[in-house]
Amino acid sequence: MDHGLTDLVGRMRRSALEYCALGLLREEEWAGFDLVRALAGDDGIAEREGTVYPVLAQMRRDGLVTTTWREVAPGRSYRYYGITEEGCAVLDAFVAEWLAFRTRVDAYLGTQAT
Amino acid sequence: VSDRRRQDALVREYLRRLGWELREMGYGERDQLMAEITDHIALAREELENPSDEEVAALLDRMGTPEEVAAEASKLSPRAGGGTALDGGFEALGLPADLGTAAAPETAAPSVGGEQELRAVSLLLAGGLLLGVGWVFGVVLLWRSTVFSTRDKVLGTAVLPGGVLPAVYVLIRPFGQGALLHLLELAVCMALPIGTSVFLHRRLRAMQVASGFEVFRARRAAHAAERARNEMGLG
Repeated sequence: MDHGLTDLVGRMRRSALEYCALGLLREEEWAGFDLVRALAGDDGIAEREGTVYPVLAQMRRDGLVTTTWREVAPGRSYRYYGITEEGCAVLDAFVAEWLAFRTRVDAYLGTQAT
Repeated sequence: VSDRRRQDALVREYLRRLGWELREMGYGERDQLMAEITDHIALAREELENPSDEEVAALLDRMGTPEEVAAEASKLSPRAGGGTALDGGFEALGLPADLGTAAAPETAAPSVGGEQELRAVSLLLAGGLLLGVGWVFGVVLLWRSTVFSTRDKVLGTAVLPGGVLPAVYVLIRPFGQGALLHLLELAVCMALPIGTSVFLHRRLRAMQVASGFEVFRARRAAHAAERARNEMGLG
């Protein structure tokens, strides 16, 4: 058995999902479809595309992201996601925590980047 | 049947199951989630040129199962509508408390018209007053329904046959034993059939919402509402 490693990795990825989304949105606004594609899949932080949408919805309710409709072609509108000021603040706080966490674990494991 | 239509059916089935899995969610949230996932699938399909059935199935697989999506959604937002006094009542009867929300068999999520079912529920409740005959018709209608699950049907039939008829009997019967006991008996005879009717009605409503047409209609409404909000600059 893997001593719950698969489960742990799943939970770590799930916990990081919101912040990864905020990280992408800090640079620019994303169409929902592209954002979900970037967050899920083989190289993504989320496993399944469909499961990202409830998370984005919760982030919207929490005031971390906003959505706007943009007409990308006549008669064709996409929902675009953007980050709020609160989202930026939450992301900043996470980045600080993440760097400290990573440094600490690296120090124990001897896995610092050289 | 063309590839396209067969694949449309695959997608429709996926969305129908998703709608069913999300049936306990608040209306607004569910409509929006359904709309986003519907759009996502449509866009993902557009990327494929003349896809095979397998490619469309793989696309749906990448979305995650309806159960997985619903599990994520239920973790995040408090479930609306669940956990009523009624559920407690079922528990007291030795039936599972989540009877109304427990995963129903896949076959229990058809498209729903509901007129026959409404008639069945009404007759089960009050039909007993027509010398008991109406109640029998109610049972027949209930069991002929393709919408209710077997569990719903057993419940509708077995929880106090006759609907409110026994309550009427208790009411007009002379007070023999203690008055308190008599009142208690009356309360139980009223609560059981009314509770069952409310439960069946809620099930019906949930299934109507989960069926395809409603999803489509809700999706359009959610789009329109959000667009209006954005135009007012509140987005």
